[in-house]
Amino acid sequence: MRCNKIEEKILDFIEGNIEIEEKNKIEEHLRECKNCKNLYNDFLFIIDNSKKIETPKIDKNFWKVKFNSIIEKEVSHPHLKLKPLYLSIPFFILIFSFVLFVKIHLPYKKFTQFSGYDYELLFSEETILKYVDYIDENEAAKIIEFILKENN
Amino acid sequence: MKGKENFEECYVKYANKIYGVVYKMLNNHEDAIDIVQEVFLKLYKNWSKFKGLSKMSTYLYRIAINISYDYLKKKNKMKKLENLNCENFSYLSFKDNFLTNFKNEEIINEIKKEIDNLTEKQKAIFILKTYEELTYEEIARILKKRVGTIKATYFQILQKIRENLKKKGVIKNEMQ
Repeated sequence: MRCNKIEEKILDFIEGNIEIEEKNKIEEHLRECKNCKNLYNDFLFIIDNSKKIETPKIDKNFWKVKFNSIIEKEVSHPHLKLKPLYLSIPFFILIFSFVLFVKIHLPYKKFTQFSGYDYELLFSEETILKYVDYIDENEAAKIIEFILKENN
Repeated sequence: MKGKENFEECYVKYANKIYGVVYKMLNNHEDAIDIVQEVFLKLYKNWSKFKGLSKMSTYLYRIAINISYDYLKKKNKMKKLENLNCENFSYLSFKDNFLTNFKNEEIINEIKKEIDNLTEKQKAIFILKTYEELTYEEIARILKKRVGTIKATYFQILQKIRENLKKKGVIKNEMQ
């Protein structure tokens, strides 16, 4: 067996997850190859010594107290299941206001763009006639044409 | 998964296990306790949704590792080697390392430093494999990676630690 094959199999060999036939081949190679033997020994050394790193021991009662704190936390501050709905309300209000604004102001904008005069568009005939006094005939015709188009 | 009694059972069963993993990831007791609480709080909120498609331990390990990743990123805990001019240990032989306690302690400390210097992902793989003794398949499921990737990374981690320990003289360099 070659050294690169040993590298591939060394972890399985350390864990014992390997077929007997392959295990024998690796053992045979390790007896002959110093580099691979060192690799095997060093890996074992690292794994073995890593396992000696201790974790603080914690009493079971400690976890019971901690468990209760989770429950208390959840009871006193239950997570809001309807949170997205609550958040969406102001969003919809905003959208609605915007649409309303556009609906109200769009004809006015269109009108001012069309006529060049900066006054509000009122749709009653009486009001239109009132404004007609102050503008020339062509402008008045344009306004009426525009209103008719809008109403259609 | 239903019922708060089952949740309590699950907590008692896994809290210490999760604490062990998180503690090794962060190397800090207080923060590890907080993260264990966060893991179980998350589980508690999703308790009714947990259908048991994956093992509970896999699910908990995944949450714990993810929260630990975030923690490490936030706190920038990944310290680089503080100093390389540490004492040189004379590595005797594999068996001889167990003869003197003092040297063993130093060796363990050096390995601990090496683990601390791994990236978050390497650390997770190393801890799950070495301490929790999970299979490569289980780790792959927890970290959502391919089995081959996990295995190759574990090999690279061991090689990296080996090289650094050789540089420090903790492991005898055969080429010298």
